[in-house]
Amino acid sequence: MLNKSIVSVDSLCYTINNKSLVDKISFNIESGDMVSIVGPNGSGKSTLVKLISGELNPSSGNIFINNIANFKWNVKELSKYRSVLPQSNSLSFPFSVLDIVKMGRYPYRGIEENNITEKICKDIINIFDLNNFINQNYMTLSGGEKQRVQLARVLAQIWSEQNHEKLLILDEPTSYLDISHQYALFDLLKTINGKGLTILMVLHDLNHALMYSNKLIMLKSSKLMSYGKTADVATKSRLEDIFNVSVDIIKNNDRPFVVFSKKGANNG
Amino acid sequence: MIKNKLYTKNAFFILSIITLCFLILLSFIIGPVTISLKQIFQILLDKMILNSNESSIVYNQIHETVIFNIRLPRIFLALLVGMGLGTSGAILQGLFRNFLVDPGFIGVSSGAAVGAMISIMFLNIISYYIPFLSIIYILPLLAMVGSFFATVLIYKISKIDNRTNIMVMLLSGIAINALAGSIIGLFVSMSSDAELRSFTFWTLGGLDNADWDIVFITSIFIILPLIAVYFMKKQLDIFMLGDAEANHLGIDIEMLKKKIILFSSIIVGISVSFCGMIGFIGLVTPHLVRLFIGPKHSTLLPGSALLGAILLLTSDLISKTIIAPAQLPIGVVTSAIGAPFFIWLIISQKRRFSYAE
Repeated sequence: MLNKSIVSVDSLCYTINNKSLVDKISFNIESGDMVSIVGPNGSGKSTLVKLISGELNPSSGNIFINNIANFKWNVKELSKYRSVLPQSNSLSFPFSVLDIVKMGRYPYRGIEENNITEKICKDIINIFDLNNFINQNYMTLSGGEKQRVQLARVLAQIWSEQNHEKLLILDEPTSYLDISHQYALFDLLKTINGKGLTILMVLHDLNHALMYSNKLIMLKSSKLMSYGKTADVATKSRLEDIFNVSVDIIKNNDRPFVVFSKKGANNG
Repeated sequence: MIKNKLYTKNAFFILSIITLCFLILLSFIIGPVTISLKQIFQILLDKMILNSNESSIVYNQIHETVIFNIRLPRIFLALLVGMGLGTSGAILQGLFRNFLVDPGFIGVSSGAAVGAMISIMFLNIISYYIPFLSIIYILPLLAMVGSFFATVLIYKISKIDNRTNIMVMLLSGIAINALAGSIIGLFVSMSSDAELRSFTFWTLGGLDNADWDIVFITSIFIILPLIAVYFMKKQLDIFMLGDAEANHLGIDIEMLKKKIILFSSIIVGISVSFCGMIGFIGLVTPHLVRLFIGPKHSTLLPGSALLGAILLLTSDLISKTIIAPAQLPIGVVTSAIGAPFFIWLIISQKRRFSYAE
């Protein structure tokens, strides 16, 4: 199972109004990887994620998930092994938390028994610390609680014993979350990643990306600047080049930790 | 908590059914010809179960005609159209992910009205080319086509980045209503005396036209879409999450949208073509149902059908009695009830609008 390619992106381009948002990007994500996409604003992170999750169609190039090309994707089949958390959610109907998490199991309707669905959903609700809200109206929740409900739904969709062909795509999963829930989320992701689940995420906080992903996709101006093992690609010069700031890398328990300062500050 | 919810849902459905039965009974009794309950039951029993055509001693031929050919089809039509409008309101609000949608003020009804108008105006030409269709089919068919185009148009205009903007939607509704009004006005001034009469008769709307032929056609074009819509209940729930989210969960959203537009146009088209424009039922009904028993379509759809029937039957009763022996058009009654509700809705949701999406 190891080293099997789960996502394969081949000279992917996305152009709109003659403006290139994703420019000839190619990479391979192997089963069991935990990959972060990092880059400054407007570098094409979200576009890339939308292409991979099928929300946008590439202008040219191909994406393969489990060796199936994007033009052959069947949303119904895809929903059983690929789950996506979009950047923002706009639900404005008063569903209960349990209702929403259960929607995550929709791809398994008729296949899975109701009491199993119920159990999975309740377990996940428990994991996300949402027990007190289980029957509460989603619209009355705070931003962070809403985000946890959406995370729970997305996780419910790919919750299984067999993780090796499953892919979780998260666009800014930590938005609205307080510090303790951010770390709880990453610990959870790390645990399921350890069981074989492949995770691809867009992260704003570079230190989160360094700490929790084994590979980094670095984007700048719609192009892939570098892709590889976190420790190899997260170098001072590369980060300075991509983010246009001065960077100091501090080693903390063998883990790199980045401190930024305004460009030019070091020289002066 | 969950038990409590179930309790509320059951209570809602039981109460609604009791209310509906009571309203049906009232609709049988109330009218210009006084008929007692005993007579009503005797007539229904004789006609429907014993199948006898002889008048018994309890009632005479007039009573029989009034009950069987006037009041009963009218009740059926009210039930069907009420169920239809309630449900189409619920699914259109789902399509737009917006509870301010009513087939009336986003132009869907006036689209249907234009279709119906065209069929009256060009009946000769249409029946020359398709002689096998009689007017009773042509009118609803063209009304459905009209409401279909209006829905597609509104949806395309008001969609921005996978969402619909309330403001744009209501503005385009005003535009489409105005356009439809001018087309209808044009037809009215071009029409002959005979056409004008059938026109005016039809524009007034209401359930007066009800006869068994109309009930038969309406029941086909409302009950079948209602059943089809009910099978989409799970998908409709998930669709509320958002286009992208529903797509990621394996739902063919374009197909789902097409189905919503198709079925709601059929329902609104047939309702408008036989009862004229009845506003606000489609707005008020699903909103109230959500308030009582929540947004899940497994209960929202049957709940909206039930409450829609209740509201329309109530409105019809009011329209028959409030200025008796004259009759108020039913659209006037539904607007009189619905407009204050709409105002309340706007006031209570005002804050949410200001967070411009």
